[in-house]
Parts: sequence; C-alpha cells; structure tokens
Amino acid sequence: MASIPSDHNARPAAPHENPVVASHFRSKAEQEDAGKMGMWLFLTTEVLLFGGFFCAYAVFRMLYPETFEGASAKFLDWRIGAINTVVLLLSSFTVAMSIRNAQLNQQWWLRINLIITIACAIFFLVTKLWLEYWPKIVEGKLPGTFFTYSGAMTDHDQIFLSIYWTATATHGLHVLIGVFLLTWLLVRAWKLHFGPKTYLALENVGLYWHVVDLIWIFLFPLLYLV
Amino acid sequence: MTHPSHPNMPGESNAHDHHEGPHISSVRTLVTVFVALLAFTAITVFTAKMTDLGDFGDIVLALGLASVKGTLVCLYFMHLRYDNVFYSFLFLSCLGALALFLGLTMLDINNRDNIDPIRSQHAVPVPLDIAGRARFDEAQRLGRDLYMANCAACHAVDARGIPGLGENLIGDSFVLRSSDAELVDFIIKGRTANDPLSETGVPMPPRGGNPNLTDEQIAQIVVYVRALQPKDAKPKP
Amino acid sequence: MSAAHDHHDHHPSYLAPKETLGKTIMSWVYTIDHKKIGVMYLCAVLFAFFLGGVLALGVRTHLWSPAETIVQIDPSTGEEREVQKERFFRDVTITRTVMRENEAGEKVRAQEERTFTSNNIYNRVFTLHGAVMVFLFIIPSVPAALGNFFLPLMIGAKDVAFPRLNLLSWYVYVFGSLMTLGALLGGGVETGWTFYTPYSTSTEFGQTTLVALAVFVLGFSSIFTGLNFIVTVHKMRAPGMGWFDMPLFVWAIYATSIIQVLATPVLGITVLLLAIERMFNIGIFDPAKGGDPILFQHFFWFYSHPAVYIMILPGFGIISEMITTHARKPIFGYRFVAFSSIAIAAISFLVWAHHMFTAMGELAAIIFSGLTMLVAIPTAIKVFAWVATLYKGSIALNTPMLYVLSFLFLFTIGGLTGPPLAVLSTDLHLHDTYFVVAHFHYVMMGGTVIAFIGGLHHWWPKMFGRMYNETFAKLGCLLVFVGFNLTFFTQFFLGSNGMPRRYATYVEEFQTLHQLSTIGSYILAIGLFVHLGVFVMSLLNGKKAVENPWGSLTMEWDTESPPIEHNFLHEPVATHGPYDYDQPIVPPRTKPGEWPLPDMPEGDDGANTKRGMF
Repeated sequence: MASIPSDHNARPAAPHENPVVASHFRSKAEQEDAGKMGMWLFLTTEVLLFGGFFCAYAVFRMLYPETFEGASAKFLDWRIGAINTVVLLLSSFTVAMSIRNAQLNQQWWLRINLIITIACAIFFLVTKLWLEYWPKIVEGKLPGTFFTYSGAMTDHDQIFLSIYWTATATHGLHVLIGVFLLTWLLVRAWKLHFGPKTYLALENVGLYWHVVDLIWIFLFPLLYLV
Repeated sequence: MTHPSHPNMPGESNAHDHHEGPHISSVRTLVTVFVALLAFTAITVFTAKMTDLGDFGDIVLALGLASVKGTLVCLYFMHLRYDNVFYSFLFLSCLGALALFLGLTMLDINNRDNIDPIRSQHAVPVPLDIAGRARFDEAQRLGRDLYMANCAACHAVDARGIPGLGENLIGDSFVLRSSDAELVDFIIKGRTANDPLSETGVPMPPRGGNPNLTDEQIAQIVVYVRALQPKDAKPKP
Repeated sequence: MSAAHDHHDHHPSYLAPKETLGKTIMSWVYTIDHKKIGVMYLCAVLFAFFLGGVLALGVRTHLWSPAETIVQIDPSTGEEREVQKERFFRDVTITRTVMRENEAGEKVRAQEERTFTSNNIYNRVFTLHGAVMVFLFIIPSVPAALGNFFLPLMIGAKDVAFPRLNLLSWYVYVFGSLMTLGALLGGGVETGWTFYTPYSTSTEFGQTTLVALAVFVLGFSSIFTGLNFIVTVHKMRAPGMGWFDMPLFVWAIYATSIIQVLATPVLGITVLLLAIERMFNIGIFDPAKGGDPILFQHFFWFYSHPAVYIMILPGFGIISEMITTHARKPIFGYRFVAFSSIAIAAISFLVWAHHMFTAMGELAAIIFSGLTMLVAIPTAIKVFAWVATLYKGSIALNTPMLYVLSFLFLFTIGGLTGPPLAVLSTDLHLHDTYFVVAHFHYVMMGGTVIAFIGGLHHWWPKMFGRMYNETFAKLGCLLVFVGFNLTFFTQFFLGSNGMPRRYATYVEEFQTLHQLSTIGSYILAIGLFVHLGVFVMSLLNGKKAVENPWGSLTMEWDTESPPIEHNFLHEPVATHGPYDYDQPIVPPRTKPGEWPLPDMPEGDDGANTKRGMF
C-alpha cells in the first residue's frame, strides 16, 4: 500500500505532481480544457440518447393515460425506487467530495469517498437485479415476447413494461460502466495519480456519474410515482 | 499549493477563483445541496403518494421537483455554476434539442385526428348499410383518400396489387367472397406472414399499419375497394 | 529556405515509408496522426462509394425495361403459359435449414425453399444502395476524410484534440461497415434505408436487425468525429486566430459537428429500439400491441433530417474554400456565410417531419411546412455570397473551379426543387415520386459529392504531394456533369408525371425517360472512373507538387506538400485572414523557433510520441 503523502521531503515526486502534457497541446490548461469539453459534449449525447426513452414515455402516456396512471403502483414498488434514489444521490455527493479531496490533496479521503461511491453503485445494481428484476422475471412481467403475466391488466400494460425495461436496463448498463470507471479511478488514486494539479479524469468520470444520477432523478418519479 | 476551502457563500468563492485557479467547492455547499436533494426526493414521494392533484397535477409537480433537483446537481455537483459558461450553453442546447424533439412529436400525435373544420363536416361515420346514394358517394370519396394514404403503398394505386408486397384486391376471391363486415374485421386484425391462409407470404399489418384508422374509416376504405371491382364480378365458389 | 530544407530532411512527410514494410504497415494501423486517419477514411469511403455506385447501376439497369408478361409454350407439354420476361435481376431460389415442429410436436430440421423474385432482389439492391451511400459514404465522406486531414492544418494545430479517439472512430466505422457488408451477403435488407415500421419490424427474411445494429455502431464513429472536431476548433486554434479568422471550411465542419453530436444519439436509440422490437417484440412501434409505427418515423427523422445537413454543410465549406482560391477574391460576406452554417445547423432540428406530411396530423404538417421554408434563407445567403464572390474575380478555369461551377448549377436546381416539396399542397402530389428522388440526388450528389470530388482535386497536391493531369480531370468533370444531369433531370419529369419511387417496374409510357436516365448513369460512372484513373496516374507518376500550387492563403498551404508528421516546422501564427486576396502583400505566418517539435529518438517515426490518453 502506498504511503500517505504527508511529508513532502523524503520521497520521490508522486505521479500527480508531474502532470504530462501531450505533445499536440500547447499547454496543460489547453489539454485539460479540451478533455473537459470533450466530456461535456459526450454527456449531451448521453442525455439525448435517454431523450428517446423520455419521448416514448411522453407519447404513450398521452395516448394511454389510464394505463400509465395505474401501472407504476401495479408493477413497481416505490420504496425500492426511493431507496435507490437516495443511494445514487449519496454517491453523487461523494464523487463531488472526492474532487474536492483531490484539489486539497487529501489522499485518504479521496479513496474513502471513491469507495463509498462504488459501494453505492453496486448497492444500486444489486437492489435492481435482486429486488426488482428477478421477481418480475419470475412473474413474467417482461416486455414483448416474454410477457406471460396473467394478472388483471389493461390493454397497454405491456407498453409501460417495455419502456420500463428498456429505459432502466439502459440506465443500469450505464451504472455498471460507471462502476468500472470508478474502480479504475480508485486504482489510480491508490497510485497517487490525483492531486491539486491533476484531477481531470476524476472530474470527467464524476461528470459522467452525475449524469447517470440526473437521468435517474427523472426516471424515478415518472416510472415509480406518478 | 494548497487552496483554502471557502466555507462562506458560494458567490464569494466564485469571485475568488479568478485569481486562485480552479474553484473548490466547500464542504458546506456540497452537504447543503445533498440535504436539499434528499428533502426534495422526500417531498416528491410524499406529494405523489399522499396527495391527489389529479394525473396532470401529479406529473407537473413531480417533474418540477425533479427539474429543481437536476438543476442543483448541475450547478453544484457538476460545477456548472463556477465553470466555463460554454458548458452550460452546451447542456442547455442539448436540452433545447430534446424539448424540440419531445414537443413537436407530441404536437403531431396529439393533433393527428384533428382535421380542419371544413373537412370535418364530411367526416361523419358511415354505417355499413348504406342508406342513400349521396352518402355512398361521400364514403367512397373519403375511402379513396384513406386508401391512397394507407393502402396504396402495398396494394398499388389501382388496387391491383404489387407482386411480393400486397395482394390484388380486384377480382380476388377472398375479397369478393367476404362480406363488408368480414373485410373490415380482417383489416382490423391483419394477418401474419406465416398464417396458413396467407397467399403472398407478406404480412398484412393490423389496420394497414396505421393505428389511428377508426373502424368507420376502414369501412369507408372497403366501400371504395368495392367500387373498384367490376360490376359483373361474382365470387368464385 | 535552406534552413527549412535541412529541417525537411529531419522531418519526413507523413507518407514517408518506414525502414521495413512491416513497420510501414504498423505505422498506419496504429497511427494517431490525423492525416493518416484522414487518408484511411478516404480509402474506406471511396470503397463505399464504389460499392454504392455499383448497386445504383444495378438499379438503373434493372429499370431499363418494365416488367412484362409474355406467353411461352412449354416445349414438353405444348401448353401455353404466362411468364415474366427476364430482366436484369433474375429470380433466385435458395434453400436453408430451419427448425420446424412435425406432427408429433418435436423440433426437427427441415429444408425450406425460398424464392427471391427479381422484385425482391431489386428491393434489396436499392435499399443497400441507400444505406451504403448514406451511412457509409456521404456522412463520413467530407468531415471524416477531408475534415480530418485539413481541419487541424487549417487552424494551425498539430493534431485533433483526441487523436486516439479519432483512430477509434475509424475502426468503429470499419466494424460497422463490415456488419453492413455482412448483411449484404447474408440475405440483404428490403425495407429501404429508412427502416419504416411496421414493415421493418415484421419482415422476416433478411438482415434488418444486423443493419440496424450496424447503423448504431456507425453512429458512434460519427459522434466521435464530431466531438473531436468541436473541441479541436474551440481549443487548438493557432495564436492570433479568432473565430472570424477561421477558414469557412472550419466553420462548416464545426456546424456539422454540432449536428453530429446533438442528433446522432437519437438515431442510436431509434435503431436500438428497432432491433429490440425485432428481437423481443416489445411493441413500442407495433400497432397490434398499442404501439405507434409513426412514432418510429419521428424518431428516425429527428436524426435523419439533420443528417442531410451533416452531408451538405461540409460541401458548402469546400465550395467556400475553392471559390476564393480559384477566383482570387475575398469571400463576399464572410460573417454571413459563417453564421448561415450555424443557422442551418440550428434550423435542421426544426424541420424533420416534412418527410412525413402524408403520415401526420394536419396541424403538425402545416407547422412543419412553414418551418421547412426557413432553411431556404441561410442556404440562399450562401449561394448569393458565392456568386457575388465570383463577380469580377480572376477566375482560373481549372478542375476545382469547374466543380465549383457545377456545384452552383446543380445545387441551385436541387435547392429550388425543395420548396415544391415543402409546400403541403404540391407535396401531396409529389410525395414518394421520382421528383423526390431527383431532388435529393441533386442536393446530395450534385451538392455534396460534386463538392467532395472538387475538394479532392483542390487538396490532392497537398495530401499526396503530386499534381494530376488537368486535361483528363476536366474531361472527367464534363462526363460527370453531363451524366449526372441526364440521370436525374429526367427523373423530375418522371416524378411529376406520377412515377412512384422504389417501384421495380413502371408503365410503358415512362420507358424513354427511364432509359435516358439509365444511359446517364453509365456516363456518370465512366466520368467517375476517369477521375479514379487520373488519381491513380497522379500517385504513380504525377509531377511533384510545390508547397502552394494555387497560391491559396489558408494555413494548410503553409507547410510542405505532403505535410510533415507534425504538420508545421514552425508554429504558425494567424498574421492575416484566410481570404486576404485583396491585400497586395500578406505577412508570413511563421514565428521561427517557437514551435518545439518533440524530441524524437532515433528511429521513432513521431507517431508514437505521447498524445495523451484519448
């Protein structure tokens, strides 16, 4: 385990103290601005990708209001959704904190915050798979071909379930990718890659993670509550 | 190179960071935002579950609160408030594109059945037992428009069918043998490609693929197709 | 000059081969140099163009004569029977093994025969023509090939912002193309490149799912390129180069990139939903389950209409570059031309539903009809600005300029046939006829492809350091112009007379026009092959090109032809504008000694110098 960089004298420079500037950039500032702008552009594409689901939801809610009004209570448990919302919000908070830790060179706090974030993300996925997806799979509350549920239903319950499954599965995939990215960050944090001068990767993955959270903030009330 | 944290107002620290490099969020700001997010989540759940504002009211309230939460995440967690204003612009233009996509699509789907007031006078439902010649002609005319818009792509504008796509509707024994009501029923249900009765091997989509066709409109299409058939055509045995 | 020459020996051109063939190949396979990636894109899109072109010739050849039923006498029985006269595409019967249930309910292997009629094959060929041309050729053609090569050079950068992402985008593109080719070989697609539901979700035989996923993959490539360019333009301009000192090609690519980033994700989710719908029948587009097939059209066109501007905007940029260089005049109304690109990008998000007038409600159709008219304003600004630039210019009638003139002529026809399609009343008559086919070929081919070929001639000396044979290039240009007009102008008549698009046959009255169109397509193909020959000959034994053969003032001409690995020997500084042709003398752009080239160890080709994580 690497030592904690509290004393600056008796050791060689940690990786974060010598940021690398790629040869095609004029300066470190240019490189970091470019990296962050690239991330923001990527995030707009993410939002628009999920926009497709929101549009489908809006259209079918307008076409079949009676189905959608009852469907959330019929198929989904708002308590699981609410717990997952809180968990994701907490993970967003810890990611934001971890950037502050890097800026202030608090290496231990940085690691702890990242670990909490990863734990939250895994908690989210486990809850989703174990408490939500699995019972639905058993009962046949599945989209399309696999829909075998025979409980009392309106004609268009299936459409609601299709949107629920595609949207939450896509979101879950993003959470899973986030887990990998955050783990990668944690490994790098352990190698002292982040510090007051170098935290771009941390910031960018953080932005990605906030967008994943942001999308859930909208999916939660639409699917589970109203 | 340590930055002091700014436990004071975010506005002040904002003024600060022009001189001292990147902005560092204070613990107090982040915790406040986090608590606010939790509170708004609680309010969302409470209002949705415990109050009844009607379907529309519930949605508006839930989405409004979600937007407030989203804005907080963007401004403080994602740092937009302290960062390059271009990122905010980027994010807003993406939301703008999304709003256009959603808004204009819903505008179409919401108004698809509304036709202009002059033509809507004609759009009276035509019963299958045609009472008078005038109404028959009217149904035939409406049926023609509907046929051209919905059926002609596969069954050809002259209803003689397209090989590999749509069946010939003129002189076809199935069309001649079936009653009007049976034909309407058939069009509503459609037929899959692997149905043993299928002659073309091509699926006939339910309602010709247009879910907005009403039963009356399908009946009008049948009236039109009937009118195309030769007068002396007899159903084959 | 001698000092520069010394440097030249140290810094070979990006095309210079390495010590061994293996190393040369590896230096391309792993390259993160935007110029090499641009050339790799160029090869790939030209192959796609060839493939799409061959498919188009197949379509035109099939349409030489309409379907005819003839009476044949069976030689063995002497019976008369009616058969279809054979046309270019023949009926094909294939057998495949499928799992079937027998009477006992067991699953057994069975041979199933399936006959593709000549019409089925026609459907597949025109579908793939559309899909290949749109997704594999036009969308990446100008931005990813010429844009990759010239955007960093034009703004004085060493590379794009994310060189690795750039290489990844090429590999993703190739992967998506291979999926499309696989679909072509594995049974094809017959839905048209637009994949309209419910047909695309219910048609059983063919590779619709695979092509939908291929389009999803290709979307990533497009997003990566667009994202890269936006950041590059924002962050990596040479010192002294403000937004309004950028060449207009850069403005056009920038506007294109905005659309690529904002619209492509919606295409991604559309084709993904289509693929899921086909695999799991989730019902979102299926009327039988309460879904809405027309919703698919909204999803699809929300991307695919802006995609039209992804295709044409870079072409506009090329024209602005060529017209100023070869008429030796500053562009007329620089800011108007620059902002009209941005305006087109913005308006492109407002007009998608004009593809679905006959499927929509009246209110929405009226609104979209009005919004569609808006596009004419920025487009017309550009055309007027180009014509005004030509006025009193010192015009050199070389191949690039001939292409500019072709473009102005053809694109104006393409543009002016747009309003009849935007007006509801006339569109109801012209919808889904050959008029539409002719209109978008005049815009896509007469606009983008003509600009692309012209741009290739304009920048060829810079890209490969060789001149080409002007005489043959002009001959090729003439053949393309004549062939193109013969092919597609006839289709305006066909369309307004009621010939529906996509049909495999037609009534006999249309035969003359169809045959003229087919002849035109062959002349067009010959013209394109003449160009191919000119380029190949130029590579083999073309005259060596000087640094700036046209005397152009944009920055890419301030380096060697072909450029060195790191683009410029000295850091370029924007000391004058890109179109200062009215200035008697322009100051040099170099600031000697202030552009530290990275230390390159002996034998390192420079491509391996650290370029950051992405």
